[in-house]
Amino acid sequence: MTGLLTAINTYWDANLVNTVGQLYQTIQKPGATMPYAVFTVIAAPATSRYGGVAFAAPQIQFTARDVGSAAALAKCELIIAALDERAFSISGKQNFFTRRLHDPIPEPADPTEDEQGRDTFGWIVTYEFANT
Amino acid sequence: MNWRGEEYIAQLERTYGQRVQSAGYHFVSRVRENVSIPSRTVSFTTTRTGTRKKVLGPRGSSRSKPGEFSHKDYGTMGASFAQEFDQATLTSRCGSPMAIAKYQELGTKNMAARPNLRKTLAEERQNIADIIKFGGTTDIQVGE
Repeated sequence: MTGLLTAINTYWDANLVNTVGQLYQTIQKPGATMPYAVFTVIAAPATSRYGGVAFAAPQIQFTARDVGSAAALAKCELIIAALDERAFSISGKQNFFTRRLHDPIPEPADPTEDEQGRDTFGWIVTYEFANT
Repeated sequence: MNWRGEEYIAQLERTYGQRVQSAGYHFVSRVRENVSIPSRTVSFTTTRTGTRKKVLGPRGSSRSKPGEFSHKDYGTMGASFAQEFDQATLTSRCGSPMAIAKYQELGTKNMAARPNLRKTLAEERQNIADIIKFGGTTDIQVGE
């Protein structure tokens, strides 16, 4: 699991940090500058099959936040364009293929004000990482 | 020989409708169970007479962590989870009408998500498939 999170962070820093902003795990730093994204592991079920080999299919939620709903949605679309049907190879010869579980949905309790009093919005998308 | 295709299809729809509804009830009961951990610490003490007594900590003394199931304050959110079944489309919809359930499920800018529904669905996927296929869960562990 740690390997996958590291792979996502590495991929993000190489491809998305300039367009979508910094990626934070679970919750953003206080005073994080817009735009940014937050990812949260929402489920990581491990199943035991044929002799006790464990396969995990973690589900990870990405939330893109920006000033203005349309701008935040555009950032979410960039995440989708980058992560749809992508494979992450991590050490131990494990490969994780992404599967998007739904279209972007608005974050509840929006809009919220940032430090400058601007209305910020978030859009959420969830991926399942199928381990092969 | 009489053609009884329509009767057969109607029987299939009744059977699988009941199973989908059962799967919905199973899922909701699992969600309710998962969000029933109290948000206050529980400890035990022994009184002078030797009776074991439960001591509850202050409300909020055992908060859920991000990514975990929500802990229970008053139990209102847990009790609000319900399912509705549509026979026409053989669909069961599960959820809660409370706004707090949505905030907990998806998270907000100020609070990380506690994905009660999606985490339960990921854990119960096999059982739900078993209920729909066989009418009940199977407890057979392959490879053990």
